[in-house]
Amino acid sequence: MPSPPDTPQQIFDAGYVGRGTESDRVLNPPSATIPVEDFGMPATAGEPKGSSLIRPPASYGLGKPRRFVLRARVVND
Amino acid sequence: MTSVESHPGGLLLQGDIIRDVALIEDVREVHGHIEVSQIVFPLVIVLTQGCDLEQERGSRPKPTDDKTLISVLCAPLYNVEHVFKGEHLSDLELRMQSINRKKTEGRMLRQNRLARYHHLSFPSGIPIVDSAIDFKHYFSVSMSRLEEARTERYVVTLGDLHRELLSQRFAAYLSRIGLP
Repeated sequence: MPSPPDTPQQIFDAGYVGRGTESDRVLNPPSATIPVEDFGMPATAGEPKGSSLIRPPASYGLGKPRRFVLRARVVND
Repeated sequence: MTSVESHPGGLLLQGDIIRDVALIEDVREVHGHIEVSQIVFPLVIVLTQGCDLEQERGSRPKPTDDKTLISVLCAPLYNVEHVFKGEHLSDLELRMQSINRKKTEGRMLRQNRLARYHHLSFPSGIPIVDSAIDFKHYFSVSMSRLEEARTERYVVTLGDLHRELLSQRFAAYLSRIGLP
């Protein structure tokens, strides 16, 4: 299993929580406050090649609604 | 206290409470990447009428698709303490109006006398804190996605009397007349 994302850029590349401009997301990703183990699971084998999609965590209790932006690279092959 | 029933493993029902249901906000292509923006609600309740859900999946062979549902209507459940503070959507960077839980408005919310909100207080065996539904917030989810979510993340179903009360109050709020 790949290492969980921990830097802002890795989080941005992997999928992240938050909104605002793209640079805001890179510089201030709210997901950086989520414990790494809660961040999510990598995409499964069935997903398109080159996908950097990360699933939201299966559950994070009875908290508040959160926004996730899942990001996948378009690959033509 | 809200009465509840347990129907795990069954089909989708009105009043089902399901964990971690996503609202797909937007899908766009940005510089060669597909971005899917979604809001994941920790808990939602199914508002679509039970008879519609039942007819959708009727066991008899159907000559037409007349009863097929395109989507199912859901409303998020918010922790009522977050609602009192106006912070239930703070992770979406939205600040809502606070409600003083000790004053008239707070009491009215808990007694379901504020038309906009529906308060739910669950029995001690149910792992859900006291919650509120804001009738301004509702969204639809495709039948198949919600059934899949139900299989994995079903919590409980409202008892029939409370289900009807919720349904009636939601309909009344949606059909209110806004006077100038």
